[in-house]
Amino acid sequence: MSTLILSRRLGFRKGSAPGLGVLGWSSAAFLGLVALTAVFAPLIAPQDPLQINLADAHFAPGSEYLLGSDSNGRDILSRVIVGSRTSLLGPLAVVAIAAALGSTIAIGSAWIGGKFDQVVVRVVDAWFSFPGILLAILAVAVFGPGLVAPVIALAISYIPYSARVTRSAAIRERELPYIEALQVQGFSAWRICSRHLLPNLTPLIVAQATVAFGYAMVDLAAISFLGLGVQPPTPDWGLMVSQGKNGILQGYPQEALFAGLAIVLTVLSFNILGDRISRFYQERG
Amino acid sequence: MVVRLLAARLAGMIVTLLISSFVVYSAVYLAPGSPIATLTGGRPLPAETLQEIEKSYNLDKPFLERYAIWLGDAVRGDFGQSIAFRQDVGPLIVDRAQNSALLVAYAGLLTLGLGISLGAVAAMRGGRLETGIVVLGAVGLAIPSFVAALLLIYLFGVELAWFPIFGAGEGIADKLYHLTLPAIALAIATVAYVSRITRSAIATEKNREHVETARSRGLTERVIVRRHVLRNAAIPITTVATVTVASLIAGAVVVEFAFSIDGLGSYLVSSVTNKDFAAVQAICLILVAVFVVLSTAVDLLYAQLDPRIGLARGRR
Amino acid sequence: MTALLEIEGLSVTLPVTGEQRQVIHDVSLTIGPGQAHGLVGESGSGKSMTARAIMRLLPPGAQVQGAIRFDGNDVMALNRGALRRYRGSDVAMIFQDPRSHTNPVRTIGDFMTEALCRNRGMSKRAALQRAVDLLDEVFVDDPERRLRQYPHELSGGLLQRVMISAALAVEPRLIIADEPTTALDVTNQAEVMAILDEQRRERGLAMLFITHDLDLAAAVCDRTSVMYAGSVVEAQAAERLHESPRHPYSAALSKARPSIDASVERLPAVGGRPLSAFEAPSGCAFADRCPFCQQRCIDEAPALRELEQAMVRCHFAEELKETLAGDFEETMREHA
Repeated sequence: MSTLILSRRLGFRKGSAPGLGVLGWSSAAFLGLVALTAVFAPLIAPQDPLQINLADAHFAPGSEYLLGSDSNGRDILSRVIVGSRTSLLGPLAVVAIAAALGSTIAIGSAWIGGKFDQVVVRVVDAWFSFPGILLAILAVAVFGPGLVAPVIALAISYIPYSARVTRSAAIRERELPYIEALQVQGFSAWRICSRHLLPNLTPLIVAQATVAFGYAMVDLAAISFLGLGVQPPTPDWGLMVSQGKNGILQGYPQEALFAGLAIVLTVLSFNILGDRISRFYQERG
Repeated sequence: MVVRLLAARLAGMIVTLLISSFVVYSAVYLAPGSPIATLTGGRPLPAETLQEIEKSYNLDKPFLERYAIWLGDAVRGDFGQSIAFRQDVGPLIVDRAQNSALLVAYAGLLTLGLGISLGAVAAMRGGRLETGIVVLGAVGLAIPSFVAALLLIYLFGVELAWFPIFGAGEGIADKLYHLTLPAIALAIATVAYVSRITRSAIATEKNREHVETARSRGLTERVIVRRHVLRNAAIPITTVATVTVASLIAGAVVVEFAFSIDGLGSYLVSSVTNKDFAAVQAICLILVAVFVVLSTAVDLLYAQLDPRIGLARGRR
Repeated sequence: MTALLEIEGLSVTLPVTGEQRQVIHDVSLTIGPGQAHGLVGESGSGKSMTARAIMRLLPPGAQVQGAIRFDGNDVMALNRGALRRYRGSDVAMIFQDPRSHTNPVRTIGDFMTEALCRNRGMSKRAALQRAVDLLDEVFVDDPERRLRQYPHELSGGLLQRVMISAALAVEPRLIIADEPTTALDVTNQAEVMAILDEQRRERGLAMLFITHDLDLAAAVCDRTSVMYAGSVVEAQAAERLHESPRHPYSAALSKARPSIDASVERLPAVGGRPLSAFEAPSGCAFADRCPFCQQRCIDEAPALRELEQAMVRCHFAEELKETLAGDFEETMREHA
């Protein structure tokens, strides 16, 4: 339902050209493919991503291992495919939490206005001053390594980005006459916000979340790269880059290279898609 | 008016610093289990040592008082004892801060120099060059520093063997040599970002109506670009570029780890792994403090560059 | 009469999404030294583009046909240096919105002295003195303080007076004023207009005055051209055009009596919306809004022709003479 509305908003109307452009749609298509890969990873992966076979360590890409094997002789392609799960799930959680809380704060602040709004703006400004990756590291220090603590920490530090973007749009939207008309008709603030304001802000929130997804992915991969996130032997792109360092020093770059490539392509697609969605939203006014 | 603006900004900075330091300090006490177990990282220690730790962390005193004592000590440079190294955290940090500062400064210079000039060239020249810079920038923005780090290690460290790939070196020239690849890895995304901001800022300013006024007066193109386009674009560029450089402080953690540089960042990571909380708190506090101070400086710079902002804020 | 500015058969097309669109079609006008010429029309009629063509400030990709001559020299053929001298000392432009047409991060003093210092090599001090004198002449209080202020610290009316004095500062021979009062609030409009008019007359400057207000054009100009859909539909002496318009569109404009809020550019008396040149049909561009439209108007585009000291682009100008002079608002309303 909501995807239908979104796709209609993005220009899938009859007779009109798609609004995201070739690059936008191909990024969306690529990301759809990555998402499908993540969902059906165990079915797609040609080999067991955890199967250690020390005799096959550091195989070059070839017929046996399509993208080569890592230092433990595990199939890199299978690990990249299965690794997409943690690599996508983490940022998805970060972005979902941040967007939900951020837009709630933003819409509430814009709706109430006045002193309350000013205080929220100040708090959000101060919020920026704690770099997300530091908060995530601090969270790991306190709660131990794994995905949960860094995801929550990053979600908290991504809230102000979502809140800032949504608030200014919410304030503009609130000024529009239809809101006043609804108020005159006696609809409750909650109903107006949730049934009218929020749906109208959704494309913007989606655009912001799309760009944030790329950044969250980089941050979470970095946490795993530092050995503080996803733990071995679970495959994860950030962790694979880290584990690939030894291979690189010995002249076998494939593990770090392909895991890194997976990150770069996914982040690039999210950046392009987010950029196109927000541009489309702006052009539509 | 300027003084009031300054005072307001500084007050804001101090409040932010207090909140951040409180977050850093209290985080430890959020951990499941007793504080003493957290602080020792669950190490089996003799009873006297435990008592000593309890005393040095003032665990018998109320929470807020403990925080105040910790903050007071930290301001004086006393960050407590490192459980892993069994010595004061302060000197351990000082030893490593230089490498981190050098790395951030190096990457910062690359970000400002390359980012601004690439963006300016793209906006002023246009055509294929602009398209090329835009495409490169989009790709660069998507390359995480640690991926860049390993690619650089492979290409220039292992294959070509032009650059060292471990540590930070000794002496200034050697340090710069050692930090070149790390600085590039750290700066790739920020160069891309700053060049994008620069390009769009100049493109926006070029199309301002007051530029048409200047042109209608028969000024030379050079004067128009310098006095109206670049001068005005400098406001958003400076703000974004300096905030971006400040963000390198956090980003350096990952790059130091990737290149095994003995800096604050890799010390932070090893302290987390070793559950050495005094060090974790100290490093987080310092990194956040530097970031906050730099952000405030950016705000003041912004007010200095833009007469509208400075006066409007000062009046409020 | 030796013309100062002579525009002959000017046509301009602009690139819009890949195709060249006509914005000005066959515009001719002549301004003698010290003469004020009004260019009247609704938004999109091409009057501002005409002004920009004269200044050679058209957007990139614009294609120009016809001739623009200043003092006998072909403006389109000026080389870079000559163009700078032409813009710097022959013609000065006053823009509609002084707020967006002044650099927000430079002081008023900078704004006023920039051209003098850069183009004339005048010393900063002398230029500032000149600025003070000029601000004084346009009744700006405490000019020394104003020069140290930034545009956002001045009201719109004050800023437009600054804009006018900056234009006068270079001692041009022609001033192009592009709706100089439209962006101001009502209280300032009359005052700023009076200042511009007075200064122009005192100095004997020629002026191209762009407006959508026929009354205003009649008050300050010697001659008026009315533009519609990129073409001049009527031109005659300002007073006479105001009193006895020859073209149904000019008549509608003069009957429209713009409300006090001059930012309303609609023609209450005529239905429909103004066309841009590229939308113009093969017949008369005004045909679909004209209450007197005949089959001939739809089939055949009228040419600009002379009729009793007026130039008019209408097939039925003679027949409509009486009607247009009278009160024909009823006819118009019925048509709408």
